[in-house]
Amino acid sequence: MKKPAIYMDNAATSFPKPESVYRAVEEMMRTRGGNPGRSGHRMALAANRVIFDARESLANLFSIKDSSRLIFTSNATEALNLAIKGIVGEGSHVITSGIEHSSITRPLSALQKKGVQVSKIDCDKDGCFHAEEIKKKIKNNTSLIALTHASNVIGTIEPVAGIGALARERNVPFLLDAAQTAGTMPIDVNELKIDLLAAAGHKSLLGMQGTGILYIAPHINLTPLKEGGTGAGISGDEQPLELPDRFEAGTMNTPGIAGLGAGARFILEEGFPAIRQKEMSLIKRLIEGLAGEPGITIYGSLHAEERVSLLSFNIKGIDSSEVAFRLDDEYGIMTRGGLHCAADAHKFLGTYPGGCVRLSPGYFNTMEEIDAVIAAVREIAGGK
Amino acid sequence: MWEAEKREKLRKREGTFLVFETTHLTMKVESLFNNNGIANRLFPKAKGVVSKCGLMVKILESDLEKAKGLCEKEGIIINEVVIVE
Repeated sequence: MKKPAIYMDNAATSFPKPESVYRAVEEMMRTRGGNPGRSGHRMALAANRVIFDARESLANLFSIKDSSRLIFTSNATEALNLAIKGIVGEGSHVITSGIEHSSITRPLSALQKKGVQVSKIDCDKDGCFHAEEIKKKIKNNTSLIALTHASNVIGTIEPVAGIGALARERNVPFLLDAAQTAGTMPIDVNELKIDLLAAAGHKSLLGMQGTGILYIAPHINLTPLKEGGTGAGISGDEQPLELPDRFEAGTMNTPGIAGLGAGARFILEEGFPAIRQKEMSLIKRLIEGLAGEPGITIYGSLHAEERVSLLSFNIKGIDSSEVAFRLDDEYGIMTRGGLHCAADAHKFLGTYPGGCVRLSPGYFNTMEEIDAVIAAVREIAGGK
Repeated sequence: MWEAEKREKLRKREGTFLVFETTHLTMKVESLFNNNGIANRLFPKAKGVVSKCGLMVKILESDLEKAKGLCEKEGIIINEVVIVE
């Protein structure tokens, strides 16, 4: 009998979504499909309300007092590009780490070609960076500190509270890439002193693909990435100064935002303690089942409480893409091999260019599925 | 959601309207008023009214002071109070 498929790639995109998310997307398209902000008829107003409710729910999730400062984007990459390119000026300096995703390294690389200086801080053996390292790199012209909250390859949760405090003290804006943490653990933008918070909507925020968010603190002045229509009313040549309109030119992904709002409400209802506890228990079981097994190398901390819900590994002598393929083909287990759009993180781990296999359980995975994954990986490592 | 008498008054294009800077603020005010028992209805902006978002919030004249107080408490700036006759 064919084994049931096991989805273990939630760090790329969460699956499945809560039922309320599917319903919200469908309801939006079927019954509230007007263009928000463009007309005054009932369906356009209904769409406005859906977007407002989603914005409020997400703001609630991150303790954002004024939800107009939460911008909808098409993904975390767009949010990060807006944050980075909207604040980093000619001749300035940016601090980042050596384990970032391409959505930070590539915009910075493009800016480097225009004369922007970039410093990359070192990490400890588990991929953890510290405020002291950043302090050493701050210069008079440092215009941004851009860091991940947890690497999408290594998975270690970074101690960002100290970094936010340092950045605020030195008056340098702090951008946090929460693609892997938003929706899995509490993030309070005030407590952590985050000036810019970027996240994907389709990962642990449980929305659909094509959604993302950027929070912009009140004291941060960003230049928009795009200009265009923002709705009815006065139509001048200049992009409005008011948020969120300033950064949301063009018709929005309203069905996606409806789903994202439902995802945020699901997380608020379940509560972070329940979500975190569940995901930690799954990762703990994975670590216990795979650490120390002959031929298997695990990357990052072996303590579940220090990680988000992902675990990367390699099997000696087998390419990571081959392992990922065999897990899918022979066992029905969907994972991600290769470089995970994070070449720097693999260079840090010493796994470049072959990459590694990433297992990323989500809130809807079960312990039985984890045990099936452990058994499959052990079998492949054992030479089956 | 409002009683029949209030609904009837809100239906008409004449009356007391509040104008806000953005669609977001207008939606926020609608939610705020709904949660605080201030009968309201959204209308497209009337001729001659300057509204960047193209909308106005109609309320009953008897609720104007309460509405102003709520907005002030929430830090929401009312761009204009419009009386349409």
